[in-house]
Amino acid sequence: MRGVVLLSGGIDPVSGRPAVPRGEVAAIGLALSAGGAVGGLHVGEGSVAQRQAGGYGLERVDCLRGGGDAVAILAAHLSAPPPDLVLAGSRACGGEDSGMLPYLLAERLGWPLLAGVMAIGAVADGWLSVTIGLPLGARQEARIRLPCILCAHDAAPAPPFVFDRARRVVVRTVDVSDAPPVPVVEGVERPYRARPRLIGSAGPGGGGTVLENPEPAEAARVLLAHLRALGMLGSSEGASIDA
Amino acid sequence: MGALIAAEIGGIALAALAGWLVLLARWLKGRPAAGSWLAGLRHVPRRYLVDVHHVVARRPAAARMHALAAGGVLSGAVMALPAGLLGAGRIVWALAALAFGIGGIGALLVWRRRVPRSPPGLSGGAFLWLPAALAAWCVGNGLAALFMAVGAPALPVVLAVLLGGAGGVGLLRLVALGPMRHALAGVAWLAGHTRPGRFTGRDTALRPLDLVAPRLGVLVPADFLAPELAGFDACIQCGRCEEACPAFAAGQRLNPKALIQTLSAAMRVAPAAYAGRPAPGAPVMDGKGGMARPIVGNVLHRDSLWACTTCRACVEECPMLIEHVDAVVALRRGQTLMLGAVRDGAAQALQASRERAEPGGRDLAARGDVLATLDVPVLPPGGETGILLWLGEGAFDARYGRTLRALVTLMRQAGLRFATLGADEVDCGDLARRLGDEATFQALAAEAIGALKARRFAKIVTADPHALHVLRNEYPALGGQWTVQHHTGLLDELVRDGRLRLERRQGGSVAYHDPCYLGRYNGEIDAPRRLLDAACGGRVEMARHGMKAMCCGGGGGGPASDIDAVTRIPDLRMEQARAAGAGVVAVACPGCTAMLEGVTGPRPEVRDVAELVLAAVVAS
Ligand code: SF4
Ligand code: SF4
Repeated sequence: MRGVVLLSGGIDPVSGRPAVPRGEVAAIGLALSAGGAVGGLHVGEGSVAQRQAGGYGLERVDCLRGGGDAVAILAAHLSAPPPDLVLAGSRACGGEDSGMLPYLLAERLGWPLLAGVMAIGAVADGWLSVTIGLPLGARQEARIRLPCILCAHDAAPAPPFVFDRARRVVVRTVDVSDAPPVPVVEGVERPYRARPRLIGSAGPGGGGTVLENPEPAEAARVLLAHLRALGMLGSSEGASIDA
Repeated sequence: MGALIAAEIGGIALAALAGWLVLLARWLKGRPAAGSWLAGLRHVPRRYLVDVHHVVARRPAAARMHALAAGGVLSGAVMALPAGLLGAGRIVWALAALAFGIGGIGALLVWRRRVPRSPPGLSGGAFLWLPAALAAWCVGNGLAALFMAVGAPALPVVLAVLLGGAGGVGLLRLVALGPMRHALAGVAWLAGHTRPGRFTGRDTALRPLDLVAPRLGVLVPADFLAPELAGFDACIQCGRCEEACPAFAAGQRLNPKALIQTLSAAMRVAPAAYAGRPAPGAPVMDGKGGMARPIVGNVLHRDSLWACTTCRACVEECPMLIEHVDAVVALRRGQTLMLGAVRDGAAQALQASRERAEPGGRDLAARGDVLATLDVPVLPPGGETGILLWLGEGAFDARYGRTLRALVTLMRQAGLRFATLGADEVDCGDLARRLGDEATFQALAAEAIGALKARRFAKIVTADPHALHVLRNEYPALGGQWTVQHHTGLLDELVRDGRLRLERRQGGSVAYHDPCYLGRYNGEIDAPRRLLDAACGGRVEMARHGMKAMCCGGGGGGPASDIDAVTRIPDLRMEQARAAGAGVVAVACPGCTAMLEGVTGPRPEVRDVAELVLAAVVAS
């Protein structure tokens, strides 16, 4: 299986120094566990962080140099020829990088995406089985059609850092054609408005309900009931999902 | 008849030479050492008679035994061989007989050493045959020489030569089995010793590693330097190192003697059996040895590697001047740099060192926070001051902050001009280096050296002996040379030239715990004691103090590596302080402070020397 790990700018939030974000290290670990060749992909100039990513097991990192929307650049690069698997961390660190990127990329490529992946299993008939990490240590098995994008859970096992690998990683700069710039979203300035505090009115707690393949109407009813129990919606007057 | 004796002794000598060449051929499969090994041979007599003897003589009984046995065995042969070859008068034969006789007494002492009871540090096994072989050699050849001296008939001479020859064959066999190997390997090791600086002064700094070399550190025996391999073979299994080792005492899976024996055995496909104490609790590692076979995880248990606190107590005690810490660090470098196989806690510390320039992962700008109330100036690049105060890792610890504040207060009282690097002070790299991560160490060192070079000051003062060692002894090889002083040295200087006046406080008795990196690594054991004598009432000494002090367990990445143990090293050390009747343990290192403060239950107080001095200072 050919895997590609998306690497963000890699800036440590405390020191401001180059560092591979935890989730991306986990993503490299998942990619390695799937077997096959694993490369890294970064949009922008390569830095020490990309080299360090090699220390976690990437043999090669391609840095795509071109202006404009990173999602468009990645989509163009990944479509010819597409890898089987694209992995990313759950949170980007550095510059204007964003954890939204894998989602936007999945949308653009029309690929399925799963987040919070703890482990990768076997492929059967073009479907990959994965384990998703849920809160409180719960795990859920899932299947996803290849090619796909997986966002690693921060707690997925991380491969060790090996200096010998870091010093041998091949970092290539690939010049790509510019993509259209990211449309600038104008923000609207509004006066500060106090938000309702959730914490005091949080209801009786409890584990919630797990619904398996629910009907949409049934799911909505349960969600509304839950939010009401938490006091986040007004009482039930007038509200009806049939409305 | 003389020819017969000469043939016997000469034959054994030639066989020994051949055995030596076989060993040499194996050692030469290691990496070539810098400098000529052969040329080092000229230093051997001096290194042997002065430096080795200096260590051996710390145990007079052992020294006597060795002098008599080795002296007799060798000098008898040296006299008898030419006497037999060239023909000699009765006087020479009589002298040879006397020499062998002395060797015989030595053999008796070798026997007495393990009879009636063998000390636990000594090895058994083949060692039990050593007195017999020595005795046969000395008695047989001694009698033969005596018979020659008195002109006895042929038969007794022949019988004596047979006995002597049997002893000689026995000694040769004991080369292969271990007990006599030290004699042959010792010569090679002393000639090619990898720390020649030891023979003219102190030499404790780790050597920088060339980070572009294909193999970093040691994975297989052939990765060691050739003389280092001879060094492992030179171990006489005396057990002095294991008696001194804090990790061994605490029941961690490390025994320095077993470690060196393991490394010696690792060179061989079919090594001789080891009959000494193993590393406590370590599973038997029965992998196959060989020059190109992995060591760690095959013949050596991983935990042995990470348990070492790099305290150098073993090195200090070793009569063969073996460098255990170098071996440990070389193996760690292999594991860390080539395989990334470090313990979890250590991996975190190394990652933080790499990404945050601080093994605790804290914000560098917060290092000075403990001194916030004292308003210590931060020296900007290009700035100038008298003393650059290197705060070190300890500054992030609230307890150690008290020490630093005491030091700063004293420096102020003495009217010194000083400043810190502020957020430009990165970790000195000590932890990374001891854990084998030479790459991170060199990166940190380069940054620290850059920051220091950008400023002007007369000297660096630090309260952290680990930083002291790195800055003073290890940065010069990387291009940073400064005068670096420990805070106890500075305070001692200030008291001695009257810039600080102390009035002795009465109180409980104080025992000084020497930090390994100040004592054994830098030889500074007097200044703190002088300060304590001036500041406190009764000072007492623990049984192990000065150059023989026992480690607190905090060095070498030990705490970060978190190795299973039967008991904690600082608990053992605190027990020694109690036994000395100490009410206060005086410390001079953030590591020791943290380790000893961590001892639970009622115990002597832990105070830094600076705190005790501050309590005794009077306005001058
Ligand atoms: S340096 Fe200290 S801890 Fe390490 S083996 Fe030697 S005595 Fe033991
Ligand atoms: S390493 Fe040195 S101190 Fe330890 S047993 Fe061998 S010779 Fe003795």
